[in-house]
Amino acid sequence: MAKMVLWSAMKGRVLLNGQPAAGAVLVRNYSWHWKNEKGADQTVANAAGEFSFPAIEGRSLLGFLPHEPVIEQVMTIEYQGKSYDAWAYFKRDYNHNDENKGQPINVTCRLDVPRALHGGISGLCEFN
Amino acid sequence: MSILTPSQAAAIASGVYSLRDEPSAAARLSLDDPLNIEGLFGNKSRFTGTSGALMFKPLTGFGYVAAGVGQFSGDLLIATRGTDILADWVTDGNIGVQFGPGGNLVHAGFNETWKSFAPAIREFLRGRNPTRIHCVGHSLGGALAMLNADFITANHIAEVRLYTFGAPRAGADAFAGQLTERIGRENIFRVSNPVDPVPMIPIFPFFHLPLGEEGLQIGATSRLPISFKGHKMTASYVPGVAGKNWEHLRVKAPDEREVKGWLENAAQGSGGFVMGSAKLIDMIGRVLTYLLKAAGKVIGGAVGLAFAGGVTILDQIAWLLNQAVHASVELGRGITTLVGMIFKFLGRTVIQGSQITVAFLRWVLELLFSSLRAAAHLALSVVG
Repeated sequence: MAKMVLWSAMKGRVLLNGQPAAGAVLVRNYSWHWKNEKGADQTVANAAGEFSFPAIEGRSLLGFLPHEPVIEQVMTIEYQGKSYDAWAYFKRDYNHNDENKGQPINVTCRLDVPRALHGGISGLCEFN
Repeated sequence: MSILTPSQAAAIASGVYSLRDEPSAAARLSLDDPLNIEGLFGNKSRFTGTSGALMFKPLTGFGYVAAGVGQFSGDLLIATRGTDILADWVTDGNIGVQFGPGGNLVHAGFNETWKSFAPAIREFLRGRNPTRIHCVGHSLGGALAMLNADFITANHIAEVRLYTFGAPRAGADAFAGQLTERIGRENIFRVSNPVDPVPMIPIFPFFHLPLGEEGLQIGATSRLPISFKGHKMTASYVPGVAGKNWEHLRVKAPDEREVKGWLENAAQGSGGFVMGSAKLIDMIGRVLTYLLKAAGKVIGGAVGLAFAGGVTILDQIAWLLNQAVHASVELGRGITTLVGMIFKFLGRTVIQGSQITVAFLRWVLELLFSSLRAAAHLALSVVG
């Protein structure tokens, strides 16, 4: 069964006004069209505001059938009682790092700046 | 001339996939335009439809209608997404036919999906008077775009521009012929990839639009004869049309004389055919079409009788070919060669002295369709 990467491994830092957002909770939600499957995982930023996520991989017995891959990704960051829309993206293939044109994902998420388009990512996280 | 460029049409055919779960958080939070229609169309209205097997028909967003702006002011866009499941198309030829929106025979599965959202299209068009309607889709979405075009032109609603990517054949020759005429050849933009398996199916008696033309092609995106990746919008068609105009993508269809030439070469054991190659399966499709047309001329009135029965298309093809074997020595030789080409494609040894019977021909055709399924499997292993 081929591995289908629904959300690539990623690491990065969360900053608020240039300071590490220690204890910020990052929640990744995805919706995989092929299986009509929704899922989520979460992690907490350390004292330096650093975080990492493993890749989320999907499995499908019928995944060998040709289809157009669509995975909707949304990541929110909870910090000091506020929720930030940090990441929105339509992943359109099952490869590692599709989100960053094949390059490993290392981002800085600034909670104090307006949401913007970074590559194909809508939100607060910018590729380093 | 209000015609979408290849890149615009491909972006729309790709973007419509983002609509499926709307209203989704990802779509709501996107700062770019997931539908890729900004500056071209706006004020969209989503419609839902059903797809899949009889027992499982999820209702999902199947496409949208949007009003043109700027250069496309007065026009409408109907974009339809493809389904996720190819199995229905590559299935063994046991496909049914129904009368489509324009009254001609079309693929039953595609038509069932079209009928599930047709009321929404009718409702949207009621009271509107668009100059032209751009019908866009990828894969099954391309077949649905053809059925939308059939409905619009048969009811004289507006002019149509039809843009499809990696679309299967949606209807029989009368459908393809009449729709080609109603839309106009110059307004049909059918883009395929030589290694994409979907446009290869279903084979006869289904035909591509514009009837008798090769359509438009991006360069082969794989060395493999059939590539799953070659069917994808994002990995294949969107980059494949980038920076090109429609004329760059146009290819010339081989004429009947060339097809006969292939057949003669193959009969003599030459032609350099490679097992499992996209070129060979393409030729098999063309030779089959040529032989069935020739068989229809030889057998004449009996064809209609056979096609009126409740048998499958595969049965009908096998029956027609078998009749031709007995009706004409030349056709019999051609059909024997065709069987040899299919065996070559499959990497099998031709069984010398095999009697051509309906059952034998059906078995051979069944083998061919099964191998296409397997090839789609193989192509996928490369993607992972």
